[in-house]
Amino acid sequence: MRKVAIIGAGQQGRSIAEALALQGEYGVSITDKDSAVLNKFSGLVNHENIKVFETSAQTVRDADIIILATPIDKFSSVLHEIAGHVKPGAIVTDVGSGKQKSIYEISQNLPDGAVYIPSHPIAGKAGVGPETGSADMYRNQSVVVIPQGPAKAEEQVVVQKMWGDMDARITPMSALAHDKLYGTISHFQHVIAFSQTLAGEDEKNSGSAEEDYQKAYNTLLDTTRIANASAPMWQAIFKDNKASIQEASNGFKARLEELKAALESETSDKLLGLIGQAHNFRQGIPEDRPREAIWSEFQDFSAEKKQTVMFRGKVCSTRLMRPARYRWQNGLQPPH
Amino acid sequence: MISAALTLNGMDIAKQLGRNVSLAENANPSFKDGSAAMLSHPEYLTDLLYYNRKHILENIKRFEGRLDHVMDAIRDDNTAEITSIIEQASEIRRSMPAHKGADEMRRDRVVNPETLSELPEYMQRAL
Repeated sequence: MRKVAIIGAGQQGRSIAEALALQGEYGVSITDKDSAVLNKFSGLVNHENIKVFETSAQTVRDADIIILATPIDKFSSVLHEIAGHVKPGAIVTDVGSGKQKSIYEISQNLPDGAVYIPSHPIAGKAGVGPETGSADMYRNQSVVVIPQGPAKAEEQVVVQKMWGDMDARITPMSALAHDKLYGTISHFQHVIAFSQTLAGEDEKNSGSAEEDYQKAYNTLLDTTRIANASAPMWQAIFKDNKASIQEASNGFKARLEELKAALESETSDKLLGLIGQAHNFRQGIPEDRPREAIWSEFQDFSAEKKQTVMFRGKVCSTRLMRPARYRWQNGLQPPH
Repeated sequence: MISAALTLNGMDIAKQLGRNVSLAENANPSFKDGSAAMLSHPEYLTDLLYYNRKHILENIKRFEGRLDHVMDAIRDDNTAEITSIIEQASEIRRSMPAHKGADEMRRDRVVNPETLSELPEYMQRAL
């Protein structure tokens, strides 16, 4: 049985511990600096393959794999605590969101004899703490494992297998590409969600017609879902990946200016071109599982692509909805 | 408009990163949610935006003010301000309905079987 030590019993720590313990091939030891978090974990998770310890040093003893599931700014202190207690050849990995920063922090403080393989699970739920974790957190989710070259090939396979055993999909990617990609589609996405939530509230308070607010409400619910977030966690992520977030903001603002100019032009052709590009690109991104049919798909009389969607709890094809488009083409009023 | 800019920005990044990093395979649920509005039919969406442009441009201005404020706080490592922004936004968002996750959220966007009778007749027949 492979021994895995987890430092940090919050959402990610609990999810990893449960997923590995249930898998059956891993013996898990776990700790958290915060005794309240650790007590909460112990109250929530009870499995014969999981042992809870009070210190990091006790937790990592005999571990084959050590997972740092704390904020990145805690990495160096954790590594200093466990130095001298780590088994030779032990693999250290982490779940940090800013990969360049994680690699810098861990490489500087890695205990002698340990090998570092950086990883980042692209999975999470609103809120923090062990109560928000679950054994199925990584199922069908992507986990980025940063390639470390042939010298660490064996250790890399061990880390990939561990995530694979939690039913995750492994995505190899450089740290730079990771930070750029997730700086844009996750970290900056949160900046947008916070800004949009506050701007929505400004609009509501400015005396805008309730009707106008309601029109945009469904979209607002989608784009701001992630605004219900942990302030300490996101404040740390913004700091750890600041450069990529700034770059994403510049790119976003340039695109928004382009869209605004198109919106102000004399015809809607340019706007249609941009929206069409965005539409085509978004259609190429599959859903994790069949999603519920969206209103506007009834209006999409030009789409030839068959999509699998859910309706009334059943999986069906958008092809079944096509009669609607013929009705529309025959001069019936489109809905609004 | 925000969803369109996000999607196009995501497209630009995917192009920059090349074929080795596919957004189709690596997109996270928050990006999928943020760009979900772009699944609507382009002509329908364009008309909706173009004929409401005055109101939309006013709102974008408001949004840009908030965005600049957040980005300034991030640039300056202003921890207290970032914390205050996130806490405010979280509180507002918690007061809104239906936030059980991406799939649950999508369910809110769809035709609700209980209100099926409110759909135009031809849509009901299509279903």
